[in-house]
Amino acid sequence: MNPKLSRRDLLRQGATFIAIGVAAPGWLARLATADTQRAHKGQRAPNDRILVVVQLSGGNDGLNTVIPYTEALYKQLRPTLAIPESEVVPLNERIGLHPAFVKVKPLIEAGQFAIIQGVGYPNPNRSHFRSMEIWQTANPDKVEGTGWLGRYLDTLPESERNPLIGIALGRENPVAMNGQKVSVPCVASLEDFKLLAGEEAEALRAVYAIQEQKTAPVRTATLKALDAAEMIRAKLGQYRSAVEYPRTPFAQALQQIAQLIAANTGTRVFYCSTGGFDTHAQQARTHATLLQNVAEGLSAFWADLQAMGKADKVLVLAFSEFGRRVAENGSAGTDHGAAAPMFAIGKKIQAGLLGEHPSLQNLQDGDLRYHIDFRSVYAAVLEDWLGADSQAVLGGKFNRVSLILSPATLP
Amino acid sequence: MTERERIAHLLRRAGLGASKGEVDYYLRLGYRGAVEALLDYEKIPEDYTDLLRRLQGDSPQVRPPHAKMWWIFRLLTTRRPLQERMVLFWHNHFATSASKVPRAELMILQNETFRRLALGSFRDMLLAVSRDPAMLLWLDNHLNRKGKPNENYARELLELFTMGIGNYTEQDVKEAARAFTGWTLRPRAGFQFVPAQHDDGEKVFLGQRGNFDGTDIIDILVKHPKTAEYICTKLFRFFAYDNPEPAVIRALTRTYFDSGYHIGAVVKQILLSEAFLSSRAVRSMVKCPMDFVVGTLRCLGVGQWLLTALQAETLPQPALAILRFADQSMQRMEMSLFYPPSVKGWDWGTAWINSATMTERIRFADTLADPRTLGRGIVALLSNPSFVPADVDNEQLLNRLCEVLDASLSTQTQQNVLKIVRTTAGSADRSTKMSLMLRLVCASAEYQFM
Repeated sequence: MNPKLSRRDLLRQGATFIAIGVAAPGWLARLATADTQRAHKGQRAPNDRILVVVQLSGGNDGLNTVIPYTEALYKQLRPTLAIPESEVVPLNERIGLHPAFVKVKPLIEAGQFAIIQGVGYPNPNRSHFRSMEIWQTANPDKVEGTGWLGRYLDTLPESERNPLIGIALGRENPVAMNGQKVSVPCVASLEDFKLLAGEEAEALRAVYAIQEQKTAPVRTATLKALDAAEMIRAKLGQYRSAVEYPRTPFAQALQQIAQLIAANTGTRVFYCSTGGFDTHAQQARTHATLLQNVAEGLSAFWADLQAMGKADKVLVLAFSEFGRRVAENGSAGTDHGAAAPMFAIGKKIQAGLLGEHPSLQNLQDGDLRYHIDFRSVYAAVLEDWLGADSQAVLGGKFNRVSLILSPATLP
Repeated sequence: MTERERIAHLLRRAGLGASKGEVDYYLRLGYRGAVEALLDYEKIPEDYTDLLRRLQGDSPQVRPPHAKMWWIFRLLTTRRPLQERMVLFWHNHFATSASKVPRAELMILQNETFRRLALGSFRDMLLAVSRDPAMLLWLDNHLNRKGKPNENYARELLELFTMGIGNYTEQDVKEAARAFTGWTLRPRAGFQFVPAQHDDGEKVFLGQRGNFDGTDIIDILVKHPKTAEYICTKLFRFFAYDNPEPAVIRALTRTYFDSGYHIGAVVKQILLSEAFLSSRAVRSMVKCPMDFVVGTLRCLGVGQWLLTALQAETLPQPALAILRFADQSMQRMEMSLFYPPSVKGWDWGTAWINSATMTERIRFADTLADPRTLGRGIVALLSNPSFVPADVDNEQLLNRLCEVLDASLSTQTQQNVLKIVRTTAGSADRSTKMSLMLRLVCASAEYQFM
C-alpha cells in the first residue's frame, strides 16, 4: 500500500465532504473532520484494501469443480457424473477444472486466481444451516451471534463514522457481517436506495426521533438505511462499467459492488451470495450452469475492476458451506459432504493451486478430508490482506496459508 | 389489559390482524369464546372453488403468479384467519420452493394439504407431506432408490421437520433415507410406492432395529420426546415469543402426547396460556411481511372490497393490481410466498428488519398513501367525512387512523408525526394530511411490531 497516495485520497475525500455543506447529516461531518485531521497530522493512513466475500450456498460439489481427472477412483465413484478427461480443462497433469468453469483459466494464467484445496474443519457438520453458520461465525464449537467479518469491522475506528463500512448485497443480512458494535446495511438495489433521500428521509428521521428500547432494532435499521442512502446518493457517480456483465442476479450484484467501489464509499467488506448448489439429483446440467454463472460473473467483475484501476485494492474470496459426497447417489446427484476448495482473486496473491487435492483413497465416512482449516484462510486474509489482528477476530491462533504475496503493514 | 385489548392481541397473533370489524365481532364471544371460534373454523362456510380459474384467465396452465395471487386473495379475504395462519406456519415448517417444483398446481395441492390438516394430527401431516408431490420433487425423494439412497429428504425430515439438529447421528440419516426408498411419483398421478425400488432390509434407526419403511420412521419420530419439544417450541414461538420458559414447553409437550399429536390442542393451549397474554408477548413480535402487508390491507377494508370484486365474472383490473402489489411488496420485504429462501424456511423476528427490507416497508406505505396510484381509493376512504367528522383537528385525525390500523404509537412518535404534519402540510387539505399520516404511521418503528 502506498500511504502517500492514500493520504492524498483522503484529503480529496475530505474536501468533497466539506463542499457538501452544512446540511450534511451528522456522520458526513464527522467523517470529513476526522479524515482532514488525520491528514493534517500526517498520521499513517489506514489500510484501504477491500474484501469481497462470495458465498456459494447449498454446498458446491468441489470434486466436480477442481477435478483429479486422472484418478481411477474418481471415475469409479462417479460413474455418471465424472467429467470425461477429454472435457476437463487441465491445470496440470493431475488436476483440472470443470469445463463450465473455464472462464477462470485466463485469471489463473495471469497469476490472479487461487484455488485453495481441501478446506474444511474438524468434525464436519453436514447440515446446510449449521455448517453455513460455522463458516460465517468462524466458530465450529458453539453458536455465535457475531460473524468473522463483523468482528473485523468492529476493530476499525472508521466503522463508527462510515455507514457504508460494510455492505451486504441483497435483502438478507448474513451473520458473517454482524459485529458486537457494527451492523451493516443490506442493499438490494442501488437505484431503490437512492429514493430514500431528501425530504422523505428528513420526515422519517423526525418520526424515529424517539427513545424506546423495544423498537430500537427497527429504528437502527431504518436510520442506517437513511444514512447509507444519503451517502450513496452523494457519492454514486455516473460510473458506467467498461465490461458487459451477464444478466444473472449474481453478476448484477457484483456489478453493484463494482459501482460502489468506483464511488469510493470507503467500504471495506462486501458480501454477496448465490445459491442452488444443493445438487442431490440430476446434477450434471445444473452444476454446469451454476459454475458457468460463477465464473462468468467473477470474470466480468474482475475485468471491470481492472478497467477502473481498482483491482489491486480488491481481494475476492469465495466459499461454500461444504463439498459433496465423493460417491454419487442413485439419482445422478451427490449428498452433503465435507472438504472442498475455496477460491480467491487478487493481484497480490499466490495464484494457481494451493495445498494438495484431498485424497480419494483416504475418505472419512465417504467424504473428502480437509487439510486446511478454513480459519487459516481467514487468518491470512485478515492479517496479510486487511492488516488486522486475526487472533482477536477469530478467537484463536491459526497458521496463515500463504495466499497473500504482499502483506499489509500492520498499523 | 381490557378485554378488547386481549381480543386485539389474539387477532394479531392467531388471526390476520385486528381490524376494527373483527375485534368487534370476536369481542362479543369473550376471550375464550373467541379462541374457540378461531379454532373451530370448519363451521364458517368458505368457498374459493372458482378463484384459481378466474385468476388464471386465458392462461392454459397454472403458473406461479396465479398460485401466489390465489393464496394472497385468500389471506386478504378469509373469515377463517387462524386456518390461513396455520397454512403459513406449515409452509414455513415444510418449506418447499416453487423454484424446483415444475408445476405450480403442485404448490397449490401442497398448500391445500396444509390447509386441510392444519390443526389435525402431526402424524397425519408428516405422512401426507412425505407423500406430497411438491415435497417429493423438492427434496428429491422421488429419485430415492434402493442401493444408492438419496439422503436429502431423510436429513431434513430429522433436522428441520421433527427432532431438530443434534439429536440424531449421520447413520440415522442414512438409515432413514433407506426407509424412504421407493416413495416416489407416478408421472402426472401423484404419490406411488414402488416395492422394487424399496430397500426392505433391516435398519437401525434411533436405537431401534427393524425392516422399517417410511411410515415406521414417522411413527418413531412422532413419538420421540425431542420431536414433541421441537414442534411445540416452534408453535409457541410462532404465536407468542422466543426463548419460552421450559415449564411452558413441558406443559405443551404433555398435551401433544395426551391428545395423540394433535396440533389443534397444542395451539389452543398456547392461546389460552398466561404466557400468551403476558407483557412478554403483547406487541413484542416483529411483523413478518405477510402481517405487515396483509394485516394493513385487511384493516383498511381492502379484503372486504376484494370479496365484492369476486362477484363479477372476471376479476376487475384494480383487484388484480392490489394482489400483485401485495405479492411484490412481500417479495421485496424478503417473503415471497411459495419461494422460501431454503428448506429451513424464513428467519423470523428481528431478522425481518434490515436496511433493505425497511426501505421496502417505507415504499409500501408510500404507494398505499399515494392518491395518484393504488392509494386513491384508500386515501379517499380515509378522508371521507363519514370516516371522521369534518371539523376534527390533526390529533383526532391521527387517533382515528391509528384506531383503524390497530397502530399503537408512543406519545413521542405521535408528537413527532403531528409536528411533521404541522410543518410540512399545515395548510394542506385533509386528504393530503391523511396521506402523509398514513405513510408516517406505517413507516413508524412501533408499526413494525404486533
